[in-house]
Amino acid sequence: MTQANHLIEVHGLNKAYLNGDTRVEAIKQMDFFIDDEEFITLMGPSGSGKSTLLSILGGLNHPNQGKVFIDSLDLYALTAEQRADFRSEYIGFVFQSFQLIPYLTVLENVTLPMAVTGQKKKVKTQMAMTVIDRVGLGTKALRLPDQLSGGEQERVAIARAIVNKPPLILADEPTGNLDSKTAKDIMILLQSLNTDGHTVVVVTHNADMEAYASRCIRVQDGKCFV
Amino acid sequence: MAYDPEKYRGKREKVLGIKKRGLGFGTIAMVVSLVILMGLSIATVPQAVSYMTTRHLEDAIFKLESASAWPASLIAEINTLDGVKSTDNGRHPPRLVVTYDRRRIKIAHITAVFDRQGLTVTLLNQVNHRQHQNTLNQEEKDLETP
Repeated sequence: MTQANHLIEVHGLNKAYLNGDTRVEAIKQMDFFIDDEEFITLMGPSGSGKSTLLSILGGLNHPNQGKVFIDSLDLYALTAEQRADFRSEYIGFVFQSFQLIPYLTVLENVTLPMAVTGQKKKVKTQMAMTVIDRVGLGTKALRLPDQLSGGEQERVAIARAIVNKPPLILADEPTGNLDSKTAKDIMILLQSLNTDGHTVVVVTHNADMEAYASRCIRVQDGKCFV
Repeated sequence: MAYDPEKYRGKREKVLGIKKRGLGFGTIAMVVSLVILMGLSIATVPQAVSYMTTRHLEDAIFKLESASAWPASLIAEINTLDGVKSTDNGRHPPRLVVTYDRRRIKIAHITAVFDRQGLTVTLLNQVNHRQHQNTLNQEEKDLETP
């Protein structure tokens, strides 16, 4: 463990994919930091490397080179098991396509990340209901995802992301599938979670979303511009 | 907000394995061992205590030859002897069972009481108290079984 000065520190990050015989440099020599309780937008056009960067920050994608420190933990020096614990403790993921399980109710979907926490069912249900209320879906806890609108499904995805009280929320295009009014509501919700103490990193290509963030990191051609 | 490493110490320690989640294997093994030991103790300790408290006790079984019933004064006198635990002449009336502590009294001291009262008494048997109790219990069981 190295003592870091920021909640997230990225040093000399490189990531390349092989697409057939072609080597695609998704991320080139990135360096930046994110402080605790910041609301960051990672903004850039499609294919600029922002989703790759988000998956690296979430401990899901090994970089070819460079270091990622989160809470002083050298993320890719951890064992796979420690990194799984890291994701469970630190990260709440929100996906563009919601990734809800269609045959589980809202309550069951939100309870799912607590399956391995060893808590009692009653406590898990109570915690899940608290966050479902927090995202404004208290009256729809027993509905299935297909009985909800897109915005509501995104709220469920956010509730699921915050139920384990992670310090860091990583959202990949959370408003990409939503109309502008619903997108605005979701950004306001993420903003209020940030006010509650969560550090929020949102990947987006929508410049309007920058207004909700405390800082914007621009990503273009695998490079970042802070 | 500036980063404070102390804020997420608990989470960091969980990830690094410094702070264990739930109960460790050692704790569970210790609890299971304690439960087994307690179970065994509950089963064996009363027997051990019973053995320790009765191991010095002997039963002397006397038969009255010269009269039809044991005089109450004689039984009372025997009961007052130091080392005599109890007397029983209820099971087989011509017989008297005296339970005594062999460290504190000899059988001769008991027979001396019979002699003083001029009674003719035969010592039928002298047996360990527990062994005698087991024999009596077994006899009762045999009688109950058709």
